[in-house]
Amino acid sequence: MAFEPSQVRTQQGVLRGQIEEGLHVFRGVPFAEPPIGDLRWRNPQPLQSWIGVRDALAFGPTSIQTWVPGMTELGAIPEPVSEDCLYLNVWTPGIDDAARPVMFWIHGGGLTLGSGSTPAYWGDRLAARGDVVVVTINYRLGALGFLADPVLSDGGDSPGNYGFKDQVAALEWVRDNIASFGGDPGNVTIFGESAGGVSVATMLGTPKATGLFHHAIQQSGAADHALPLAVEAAARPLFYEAIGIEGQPSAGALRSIPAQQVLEGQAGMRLNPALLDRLDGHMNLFNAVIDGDFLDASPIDAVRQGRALDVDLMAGTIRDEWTLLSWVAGIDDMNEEAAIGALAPLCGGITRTSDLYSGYRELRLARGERANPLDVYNAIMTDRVFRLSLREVLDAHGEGHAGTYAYLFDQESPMLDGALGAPHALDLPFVFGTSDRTPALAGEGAQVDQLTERVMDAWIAFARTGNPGTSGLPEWPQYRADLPSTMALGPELRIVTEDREEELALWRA
Amino acid sequence: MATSTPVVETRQGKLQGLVEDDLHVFRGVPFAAPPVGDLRFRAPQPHEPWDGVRAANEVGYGSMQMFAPGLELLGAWEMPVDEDCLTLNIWSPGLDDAKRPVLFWIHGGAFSAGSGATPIYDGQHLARRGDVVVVTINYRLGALGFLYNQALSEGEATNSGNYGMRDQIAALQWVRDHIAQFGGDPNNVTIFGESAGGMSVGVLLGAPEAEGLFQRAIPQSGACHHAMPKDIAEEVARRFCAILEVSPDDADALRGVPAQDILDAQGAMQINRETAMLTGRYVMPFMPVVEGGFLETLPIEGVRGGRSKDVDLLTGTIEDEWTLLAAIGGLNAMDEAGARGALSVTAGDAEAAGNLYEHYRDVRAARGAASDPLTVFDSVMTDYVFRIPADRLLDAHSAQDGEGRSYSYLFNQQSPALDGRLRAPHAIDIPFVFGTCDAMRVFVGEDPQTDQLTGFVMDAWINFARSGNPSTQSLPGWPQYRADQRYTMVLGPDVKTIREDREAEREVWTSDLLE
Repeated sequence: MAFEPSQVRTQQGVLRGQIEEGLHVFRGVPFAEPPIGDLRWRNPQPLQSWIGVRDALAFGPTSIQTWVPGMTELGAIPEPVSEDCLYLNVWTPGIDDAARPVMFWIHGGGLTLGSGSTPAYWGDRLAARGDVVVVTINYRLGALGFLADPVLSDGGDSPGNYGFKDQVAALEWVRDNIASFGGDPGNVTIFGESAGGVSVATMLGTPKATGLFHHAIQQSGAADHALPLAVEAAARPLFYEAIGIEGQPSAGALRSIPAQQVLEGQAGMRLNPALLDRLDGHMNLFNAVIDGDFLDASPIDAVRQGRALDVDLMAGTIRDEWTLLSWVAGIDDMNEEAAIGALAPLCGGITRTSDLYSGYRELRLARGERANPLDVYNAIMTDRVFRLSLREVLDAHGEGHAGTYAYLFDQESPMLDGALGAPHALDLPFVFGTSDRTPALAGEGAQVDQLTERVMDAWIAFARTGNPGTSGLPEWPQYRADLPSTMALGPELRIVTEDREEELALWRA
Repeated sequence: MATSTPVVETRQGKLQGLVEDDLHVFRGVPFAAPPVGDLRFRAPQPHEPWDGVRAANEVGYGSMQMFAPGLELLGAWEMPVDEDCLTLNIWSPGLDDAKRPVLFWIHGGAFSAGSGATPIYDGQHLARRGDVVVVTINYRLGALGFLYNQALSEGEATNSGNYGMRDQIAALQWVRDHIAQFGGDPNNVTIFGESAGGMSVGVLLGAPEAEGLFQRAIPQSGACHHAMPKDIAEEVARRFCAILEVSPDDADALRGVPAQDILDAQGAMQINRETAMLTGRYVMPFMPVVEGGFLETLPIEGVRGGRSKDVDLLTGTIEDEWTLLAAIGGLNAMDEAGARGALSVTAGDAEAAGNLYEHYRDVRAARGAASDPLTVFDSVMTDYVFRIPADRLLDAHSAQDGEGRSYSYLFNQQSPALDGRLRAPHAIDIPFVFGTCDAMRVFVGEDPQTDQLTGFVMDAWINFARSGNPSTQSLPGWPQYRADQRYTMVLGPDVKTIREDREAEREVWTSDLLE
């Protein structure tokens, strides 16, 4: 019989999933009330109980978003979207008392795209290989997830951060229910890439997630992203303008706007040249806000102040992160002037940007690397958006008692005949063992398969013990600010202690 | 407490039951041959006689079904199941010639679950309070009870399908032939049932083969619209056989498939969206079928044509039936698009669904009633599946010139379960009818008012079974229902007679939508 049901009793009611190749799989598990109608732009509400059996056989809708065709290369498929999107998915080797490590995945996509049901993130391979429970979640995206207008506090919630609050609600669901799925609520690893890495940082930084997880893997995500309220307030009118609202809307008016119109306003706002100025060095309006409640500081500052120092942390980046993001944006060439112009709002103005540009160019030429304007632009953006911030988190976290580990992906992608180098998102198929689901990005062959096994085993070991060391890898020392030991994951597995340190020094000048 | 062991002689042999306090109780009494092996997918056959004394002190197997965890508050329990399931249970105040009214219960469970032995249907309280004989039965469920596939009827005297309904008739025939020996009156039999049990009562009201086997009927939350056309049932069978990987033409193979595989295939049908669309209008994939023999028309047409006009009828629904059915399976919230989409499955198309949605939203809002999408959806479904069919039955039955009387009720007793959001849900009538609130306290609550209402309801059902009139000294006057004076007894915190309830909603229901 093709269909083998598997039933689990949660605190809210019984779920029916199915057994697939030895794993019990539960798709579309609700973890909060649907944030629809009057619940739009409110904190996620506790899930109501049901009676009887609720089917958890199909993925839930993903948060409202626009489909980007290039996402196919990254293993995404178009999925139904809805404001009613607060669902998670569970892959577990057994619904028993085995108390397995739990790996809780927060997807990326710039906080405006993505889902936990993307095939590249299906947890079947990790769960089977590691005897772990894999959970992937959806959360509210874009304006629906992050609009932070104080008028929305009419119910007493602090405004904004709704998408991150959804992540906390999903972690609470895991705490309350995962034991019934064969998982250990006392051993939860959160991991996420890109905006999912940003989310991991946010979970490190918010007091609301304390105790809900024990290990964290921040993959290619910043920690300096949270907006001060004043910045959010300055940029927000541009969203209202794009959506066709004049002046200050009421909460009721905002909650009755068709979701599609919200989405269009969000896209329209991005075309407004005034946006980057108003954002004062930040990249996105729809992001975390430092509201004094959910976040009392940007996550990097919270870690510096001692939050989450008892959580084991692994963090890392990919060598050429930004090449992919330029490609997604359709940029395949630029001149020096355009490169400096595009970098300036994020790099402290034209003068400093010009200095950075020449510095990066010379360092690359001296190492025999390509140094066309697009190459230099990509290298600076890689550091500005990802590497600098992650190094800061690693430096700050290393002050605590828990483990701190760093990695650098330098595996190259065959995509576009290798033009992307080692791009953003290349870690995903290796972590999830899904290179066959994203062959264009990950490539194939024995080396890909072997690296996949090494990476999966490291991630699994870290989830199990807080230490990513395995017998298949060289010894993996902890990262220290004064000795930044980093595991290079690529054609050659090795510890590096110096990785383009000169570029980083340029930013400190 | 068993103090002595009564023995009753039936046509097949001797049965030994139990004495429990002041009642004689017989459990697991076979009323037909086990429908196993070559008898699967056939009309029930007479049970073979036995020698000696057969013990009737334990309930029989439940009909093949999946256990539904999470329904404990409705009395569900993990019972042993088997295809060999055709037994009934009897509670009688005396094995004498007293010719007591017989109350014959047909359990619900969407024609795919349930059992007559479920503790919430414990017949002792009704038997004792009313000096009546209570009978509860099992019948075949799901595909085993309702698969309609003509290849199965080759060489048979009857069409395929409706096996579960024929089981009910076989049990009624057993009652006709034997109940006098258990102190009951075979000429005063009241059939009652709830949900799919109420729908079963509705089918029996319209089925020629059931004529004369009962004198009164209480379909609770189920009426005479609940049968599927044969072309839909045939398509269901085709898909079902495809999942089983058995040719629909291979009757021997279908009779040879392990019963567990049949259950698994039913489970696979449930999760198939196309099947849901195919059968959405009928709500259930396996149910009675209008195949041209057992049922020539929808049962309501039979009633309109005068069938059962001499049968006394008491029927009604609960104010918020669908809230429970939505909450089973976790539908706790919806937006407007979701409500319209879900309604289009039952209404057949998006336009009809939109009309229903808007009509209900507007008339509710005009009354100041809740008009959020989930409440509107629940209200439409409550009316579509339950209330409007019940009203149509009352209209059809009360218009006849026969002896049968027509009475209507509306339960509006609220359930405290799930923080009260079920309001007055489906199935809350059961513990009040059977006096089994203690078995369902999470569902009915602890309020002493529940005990008072239990007394009112049990006495009304008992009086109806005795005389065809549910009136009691404790209730306000309970006039008969007439199409132009739709008297209804409200059973809840405030017991009273009303007329013309939620009239504005009724206007939108054309026969196209229902039949």
